[in-house]
Amino acid sequence: MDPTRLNAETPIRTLGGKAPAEQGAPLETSPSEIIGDFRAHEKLDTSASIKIDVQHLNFFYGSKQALYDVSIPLRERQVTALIGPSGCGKSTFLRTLNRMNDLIPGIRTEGKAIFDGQNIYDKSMDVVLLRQRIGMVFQRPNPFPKSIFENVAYGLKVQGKAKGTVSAAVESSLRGAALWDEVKDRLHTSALGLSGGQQQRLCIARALAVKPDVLLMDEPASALDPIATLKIEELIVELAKDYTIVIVTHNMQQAARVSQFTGFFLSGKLIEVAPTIQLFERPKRKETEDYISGRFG
Amino acid sequence: MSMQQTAQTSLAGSTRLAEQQRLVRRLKLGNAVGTGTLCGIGILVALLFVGIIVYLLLQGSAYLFLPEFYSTGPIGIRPEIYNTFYILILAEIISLPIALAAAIYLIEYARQGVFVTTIHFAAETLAGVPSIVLGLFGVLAFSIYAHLGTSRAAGALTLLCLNFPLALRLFEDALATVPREMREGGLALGATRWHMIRTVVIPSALPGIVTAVILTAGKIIGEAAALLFTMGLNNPSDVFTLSPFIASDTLTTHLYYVAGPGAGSTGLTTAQETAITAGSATLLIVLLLIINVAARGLGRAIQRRVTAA
Repeated sequence: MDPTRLNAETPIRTLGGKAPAEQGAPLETSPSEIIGDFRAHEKLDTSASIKIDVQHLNFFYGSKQALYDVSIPLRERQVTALIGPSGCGKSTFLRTLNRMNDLIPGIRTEGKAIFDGQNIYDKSMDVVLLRQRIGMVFQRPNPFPKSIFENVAYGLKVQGKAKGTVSAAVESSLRGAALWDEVKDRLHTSALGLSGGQQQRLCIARALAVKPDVLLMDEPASALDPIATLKIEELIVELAKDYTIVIVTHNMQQAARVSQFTGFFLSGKLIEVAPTIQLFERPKRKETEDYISGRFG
Repeated sequence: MSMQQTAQTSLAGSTRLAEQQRLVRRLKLGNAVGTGTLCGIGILVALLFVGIIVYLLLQGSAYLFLPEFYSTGPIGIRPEIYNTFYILILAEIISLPIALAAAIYLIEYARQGVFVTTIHFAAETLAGVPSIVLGLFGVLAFSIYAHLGTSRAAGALTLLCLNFPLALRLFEDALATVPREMREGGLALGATRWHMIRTVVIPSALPGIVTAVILTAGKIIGEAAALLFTMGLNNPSDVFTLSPFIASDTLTTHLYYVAGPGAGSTGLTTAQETAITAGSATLLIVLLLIINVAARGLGRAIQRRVTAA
């Protein structure tokens, strides 16, 4: 399903909706139909080793608790989606994984997240090193006001890599983010001249350039138009072959399309985490079922 | 509804409509009066400023085309031009790095609280101190206590005190315009805080920083009171050197001296005095105009290059 070949004749079904001809059919598209188009669930591996093991995380903004006893295994080379209504804490949780919440004064973290034998939340953890191994893509594309090349090369230059390595890595990252063909002739023009979708793919390439172990994505497509969103989702499914990905999304269908595991957050608690198909088709908790069937959120 | 009722309703309706129309007409009149008054005041003020500048330009522009004006002769102000630019560069070199460092600290590192508020309050108080008072302070602190005497160094240090609040505020504004997401993006890639500031924040803030440099330059060029006693009103024979320990006068202080205390006592004719004062004033206005236009133009050009917009 190549997004660039989408046109007026593309059947709506490809986008996860019902074709107009099936008029008598129920309006909702069942999760399995959506999932089936992307086939992300075929890569499910419940025995994959756990990359980050979050255990009993409690997070506080000053005296206000934002996360209650969250425990979730994030498995290697699998996409874990975190869904839930606005303000439920999923972004906060994501940001604890690379200690970005440390930028906020007065926060407190209790619990463990074991990553390569070390506890991420430990005070002695080298945060700079951690962020070189756990990358992040933000909700709104945030390219630096530099050239495309300089943007992607930024992380590598931070690590002091040699020039030759940097050029090769920039190319491979841009290819990996499905952006190379579009920008190869203008690598040294400003990154701010790209469209929103291209900028976000640039940010993904920038995060990939340092070859992180884990890629955190905080609603990466929410600021983009549907075609660009589709490209990003395809990219995520493709990237999952090499990277462990954790994606926060407020779009349930997106979670169904791209992830192998899904966790449902509500009011700071992780209600349920399970393989995506299982969570959407046979949710164990009532809150999960209510959210998925659109009764709230 | 009967015909009579319809007629009554439409009559009542049309009365109400007429009333509304009268109300709207009154509101529009009030609007027109207000807008007209404000526009009138704006135009008046603009004409006033333009008038002042045009008057000064007319008074002295003739002298700007005389070659003797730029010599070292009786009406020559070459030493003063040299000194003005000298003190400009010296003062900027001293004050800008300090102000930039302070701005970076206040915006990027310090936690908002009593300390930061105190610093801002102190800076703003300093900004309100009359420059003649700062000049006298400079004489005490730099000329006397620091044994610098009447010298360019003392003048530059006094200008540091004068320039610092403005430069600090302009630099802070420039740094504050950099969006938070950009900083987070840099940190998320594993950069240390200072590396991120150096490679992401400062380049992003460059248009504002350049504007700040140029605007402070304008302020320094126009400064007289702070330099009167710290830098002196005379030029020694070695005025065209780079030594910061000699006294010298700038366009502004020289203008003050010739028009004021030195009138009639420097062996110049009245016509010559007029040439110097009017010419210097016009030259200063021209320089300030160039600087302000350059500030806007350069700032915008850098902004465009940086954002490729």
